[in-house]
Order: sequence, then C-alpha cells, then structure tokens
Amino acid sequence: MNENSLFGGSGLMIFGLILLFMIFGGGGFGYGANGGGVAALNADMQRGFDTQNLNAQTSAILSAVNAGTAQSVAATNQSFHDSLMANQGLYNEISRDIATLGIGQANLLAKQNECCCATKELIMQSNYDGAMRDAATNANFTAQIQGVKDMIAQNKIEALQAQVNKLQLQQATAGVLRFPNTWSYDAGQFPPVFAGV
Amino acid sequence: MNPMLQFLNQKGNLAALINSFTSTVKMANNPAIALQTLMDNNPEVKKAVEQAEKYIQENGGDVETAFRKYADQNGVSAENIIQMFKK
Repeated sequence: MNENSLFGGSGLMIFGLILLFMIFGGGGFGYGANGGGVAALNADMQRGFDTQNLNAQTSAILSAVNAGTAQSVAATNQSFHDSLMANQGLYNEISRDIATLGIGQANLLAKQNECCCATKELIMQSNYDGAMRDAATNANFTAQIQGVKDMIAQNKIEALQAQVNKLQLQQATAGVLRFPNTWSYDAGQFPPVFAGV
Repeated sequence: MNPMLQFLNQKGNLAALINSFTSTVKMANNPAIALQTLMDNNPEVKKAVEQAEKYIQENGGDVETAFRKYADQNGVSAENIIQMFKK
C-alpha cells in the first residue's frame, strides 16, 4: 500500500510532527526536555502502542465478528423470510381452499334449505288439500245424512198424515150406513136386470 | 541525530511507533479516524497532537512548514521521517 497516498501529503507530515512532539515534546510531557528516562519513554510509548495495536486488533476482530454476525443474521433473516414466504404461499393456498370449501358448504346449505323449504310447502299443500277434501267429504256426507233425515222425516210425516186422515174419516163416518163393500150373500146384481125385458 | 531519537531508532522503537501510526491508518483507511483512535487510546499521542496543533497555528497554519521547522529545531531530518512513513 502506498502510505503516502493513504496519508496524503499533509497527513503524513501531521503524523510526522506528532511523532516529533511525542519525542521532543514541551514541558510537562516528560519525555523530551525533562527527560523522564529512556527506559520510561520506551516502556510508556511501547505500552501505549501495544495497547493501541491490541485495541485495533480487537476492533478488527470485533468488526469481523460483527460483519460475520451480521451476515449470519442476514442469512438467517433471509432464510426465515424465504421460509415465511413459502409458508405464506401455502397459507394463501389453504386460505383459498378453505374459502372455496366454505363457499361449497354455503351452497350446499342453501340447497338444503331450499329443498327443506320446498318440502315444507308440499307438506303444507298436501295438508291443505287433505283438509279441503275432508271438508268436502264431510259436507257431502252431512248433506246426504241430512237428506236421509229429511226423507225419514217426510215419511213419518206422510205416515202420520195418513193416519190422521184415516182417523178423521172414521170419525166423520161414525154411525153412518155404509154401503157394504163386500157381500155375504149374493142377491144378484143390483139393480136387478130382468131377462127379456 | 538526537541521542534519544538515535536510541529509539536503534532499538527499533521509532520504527515501531511509526508502524503503529501507519497500521492504524491502514486499518481505519482514514487518517483522521486513525488519529482520533490513537488519541483516544494513547494520552501521549493526545498531548502531542495538542502541542502540534498549537505549533502549527503559531507558524502560520501551514503543516509542512511547521513540520520541517520543528524537525530542524531538534536536529532531525524531516525527509528521513517522511521516508520512514512511506516504507
């Protein structure tokens, strides 16, 4: 890698200047003018950059793990999504089948209801017709009975009337000579008819 | 060359220090982010950055001018340091 291009012109010099200040830095820095000891300088700087490197490596590892985790999560999500889509397709088909079945059942129920209704109508009509026939029969029978009754009554009346007439006649002709209707003795014919006259 | 710098260079610590800078920049792929990371993890770096910023402002705000001037003041070859960064 071209560090110059990575740093850029001024970037490289900034790092260079920082480096110089780390080595030769001003008062209180403890490295340059005050001279905290080469050993202290080496140890502190090395520890600092070891920590930096470790942190950087940890960061790189974490980044890789995160990337891998992210990829795993993404792959899992994708798999889950694909499974869900496949299941969704199946659910849609099942829903359609259920809906179709429901429609079929509804139609069947409607037909059953229609048939039931028609049957009831027929029964009702039959009952009505039967009732009407019964009524007609009853009326006819009643009429016939009444006719017979009337006839019987009329016969009675006539018989009674005859009896009444007879009795009236008897009463009217009581003590009156009655011309015999039959002869005990035959006196010839009356008036007598003489022969040869 | 400054004895301290000479010592550091002999021990390879200067190179190690520069390598730490460059590796951090490589990892971040961004010098600004790398510098912030270094500052967050190294108090020595943070203090040096503050001093460098101040020195740059005192010298007209030009980074190259300040860098070369400070290197000369401390008896260090600016070009050598640049080359070490480029390795």
